[in-house]
Amino acid sequence: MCEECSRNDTLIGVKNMNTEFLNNYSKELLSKRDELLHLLSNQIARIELPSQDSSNLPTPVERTNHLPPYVSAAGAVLFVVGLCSKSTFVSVLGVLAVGTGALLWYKDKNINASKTVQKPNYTVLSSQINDVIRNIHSMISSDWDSFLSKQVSGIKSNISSLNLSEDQNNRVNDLLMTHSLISYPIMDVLPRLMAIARTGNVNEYSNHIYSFKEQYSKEISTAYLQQEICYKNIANILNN
Amino acid sequence: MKISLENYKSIFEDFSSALDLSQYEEEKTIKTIVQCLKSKLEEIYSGGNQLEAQNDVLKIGVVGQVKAGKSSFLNSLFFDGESVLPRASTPMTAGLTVLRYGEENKFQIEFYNTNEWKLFADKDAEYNSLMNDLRQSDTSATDTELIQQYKIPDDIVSAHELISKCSRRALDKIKPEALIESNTFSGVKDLQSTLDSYVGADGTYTPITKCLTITLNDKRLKGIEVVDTPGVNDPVLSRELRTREFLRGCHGVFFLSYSGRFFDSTDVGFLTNRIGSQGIGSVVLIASKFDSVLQDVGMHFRDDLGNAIEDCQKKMKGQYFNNISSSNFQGNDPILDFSSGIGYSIFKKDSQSWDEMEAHVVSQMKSFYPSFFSSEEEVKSTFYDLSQIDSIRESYLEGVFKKNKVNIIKEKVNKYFDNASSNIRDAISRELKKLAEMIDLIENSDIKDIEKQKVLSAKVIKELSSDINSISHRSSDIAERCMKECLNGFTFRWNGKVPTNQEMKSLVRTSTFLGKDRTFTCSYDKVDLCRLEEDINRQLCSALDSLSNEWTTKNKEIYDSIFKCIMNVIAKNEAEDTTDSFNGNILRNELDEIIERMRNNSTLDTAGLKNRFHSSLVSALTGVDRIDYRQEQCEESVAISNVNQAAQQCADNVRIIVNGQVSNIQEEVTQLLKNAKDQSMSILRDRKDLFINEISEKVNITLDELEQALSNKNRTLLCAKNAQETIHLLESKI
Repeated sequence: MCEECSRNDTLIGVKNMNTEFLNNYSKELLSKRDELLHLLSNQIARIELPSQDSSNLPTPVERTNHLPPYVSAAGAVLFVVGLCSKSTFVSVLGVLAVGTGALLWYKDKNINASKTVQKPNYTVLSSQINDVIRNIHSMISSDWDSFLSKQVSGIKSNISSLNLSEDQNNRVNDLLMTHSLISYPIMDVLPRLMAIARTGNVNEYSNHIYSFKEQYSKEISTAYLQQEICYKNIANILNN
Repeated sequence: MKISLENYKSIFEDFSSALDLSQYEEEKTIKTIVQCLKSKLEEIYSGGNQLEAQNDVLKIGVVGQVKAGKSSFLNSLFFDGESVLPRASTPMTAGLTVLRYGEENKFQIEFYNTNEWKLFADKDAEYNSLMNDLRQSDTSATDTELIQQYKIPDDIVSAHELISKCSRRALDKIKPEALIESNTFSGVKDLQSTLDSYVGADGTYTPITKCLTITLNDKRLKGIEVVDTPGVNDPVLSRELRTREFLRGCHGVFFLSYSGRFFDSTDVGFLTNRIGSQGIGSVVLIASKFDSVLQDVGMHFRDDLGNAIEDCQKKMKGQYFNNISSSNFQGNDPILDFSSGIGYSIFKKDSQSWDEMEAHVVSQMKSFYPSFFSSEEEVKSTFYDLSQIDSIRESYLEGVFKKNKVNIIKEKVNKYFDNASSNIRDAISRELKKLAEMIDLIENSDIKDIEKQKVLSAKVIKELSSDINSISHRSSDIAERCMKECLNGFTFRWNGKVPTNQEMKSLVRTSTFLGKDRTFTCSYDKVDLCRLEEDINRQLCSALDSLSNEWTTKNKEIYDSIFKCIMNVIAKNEAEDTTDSFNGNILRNELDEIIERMRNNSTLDTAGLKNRFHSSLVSALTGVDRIDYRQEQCEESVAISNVNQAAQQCADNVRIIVNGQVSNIQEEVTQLLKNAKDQSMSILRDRKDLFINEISEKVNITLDELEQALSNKNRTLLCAKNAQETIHLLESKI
């Protein structure tokens, strides 16, 4: 958000003495929002993804050895031809070829079973990204909570020093009974990441992380806006 | 004496004449007590009359959430898959539709009346003012985004939708007395075209239609009445009341639950609170739109429809057993089956007549399972099998409902009168207690003290008003502490055990001596996802139930502190009153009830979290148990070892995913508790003024009535004792 817009968002315009202290809270609130948005961007930038090239390994070409039966068959033919032509050399050659074929087949006997596909473990990658996102949410939401708790206590103490009517006092305190929360459906993250894992497309992870950042930024801004509205309402009560 | 269908009329007539209100004309308090009892009796009596009048008609409800496929299901069951009852797009446009047998084909439409419409108009005005405020504070968001972000209540949004869809022509039909229109029709096509303007998605009169009754000359409907309800949690109150009324007299239901979010917390809540409590004996739970989940898993079961069906059914059964066992549903366990309403209409129509939705479903299924949909004939036969409509009609409509009609109706009647007896006994003891308290109060009060009592009560209420403000403002600290204690006490640790089943895998050796393929098998431990999900859900349910109990206990502290503060104020004033004219018990009695009501609203809703966890876990684990392998040259022993390694890798992956989700739930629980704390604070904040007003009003009424009673103390006492005696006599008869 640009500086000018940010300034407009605060309660700076309100001149009444009673509400001047609220402007500071409002400014702090705004800078907290920016700090959290910055923190979010930093944390997101630290996520490392493997490149698409390294992750999509080409499947090795299947190799099937058809040589032994052909060698043996050729040997048998030579042997028969040798016998018919009474050529010892050709017969011996045939026997040797049959023997070679058999040997090759014996060597090859235990091949072509199965082997697991060697792919990068996307489950681990998804889980790591999930952990990072969870930690970001945990860090930001608890930071926001403790920040607002401090602000609310501060405002309450400021208010107690003002000469307010009982009704004003009650209405302000009513507004301060709750504060805005940053909530995010963190349980939906892993299923989405696992869906990406099933496609094996690393680019999709980047898209997901980007959309998380967008959505989370919005959550932060919404929580900020709700709290800012609360402060504006307090200012209105104090001004009346 | 046991109340039954045979004797209820004579019993209620006796009771009604014994509780003659005219003798209490002069004594308002006693009249109110007797009136309460009489109203309860009349309510039970009218319910009995209703049951008797419809003793030969079996009422079957079709219930379920919005878009669960109720109308498609009924269209398939009675209209050969033709879209006679339109698929409603929103909760607002979904009407209450009754299907019954009659010699003549006709339909009847009931519109909303002026008063009902005014309620929508008020809510629409509320919507507009709310949205104007929100649009000013957030200019970039669309209305839909604002509704979601600020959680605008459903009833307000729906009222706006209804009002904005309503044309001037439709408005002309809203009259002080609800307008009813009826018409005849020749066949299904004729009905379809006529109904479109009343219940169709874009129908001119759809927004103002409250109820539609179709009388069909269809032998399948003989002796039964089928009602298509608008949906669970209907935002339209008057229609919701009509649905409730219908469910009370309902004998059995087809409960439709969308397969894509099968039997979630809303469904469980509806089944427990609205069906179980109404004594509806036979419930057939249908996993509707079954084709949609087959499309979801299409990528994993490429062209393997059999296994896809088996896998989806297994998961849904797991979800069902898990949720039904953890619910408080009282009644026979529902019968579970699967259906695809759209499948039946695809089967019934020519491919040229398929609508856009039907054509899309066919093309999707074709792309995932091509061998099962290679020709039009195969498409139809596969969809017919998936629809199960004929089997449902035969097994449940005919087999369960119509075949056992007499017994089902009898059982319902017996249950009703069993409940009626106990309800009457409860009402009698409640009213007797009130009478005894009243007699006690009158005997120990003096009319000279009433004025003083009024002044003192007003003073106490004023003190309470200021005290409740200060204590509620301080209570956020207590709530914060309660929340943290609950969070620290929440432990959900997964034991890490991945259940497995031994399975065989066939492997192919392609390079034998003559190049012929030869297969051999190897065994490996396959992860049993169903068992795993059930185990984890069980552990989570127990952890969340403990958390919920813990929260209720902790949360009680907030209300206890308010209660204690109020009691101190009353006790202090009692002590200060040297004249003995202030009776604090009048206040105490009223307060007890109001505080209890506030406390009951501050519960932790863990059901939604349980369901979300389950569905997210199922979704994250989809396909993880499948072993990826390909043919490659290696020795048999190596191949077997590789398969086992792959199986081990699967188990490890499962462990990683479950651990990830278990860690995520800690965050969600934190969020849930924060919301619960806020909700608790909001209840306190929003209702404290109401609380003070309610106490003030109730105490004033009580004191006025007491004053009137004391003006002729002896007559009132005599009258109260007479009423007590009469009610005791009635009690002995039941």
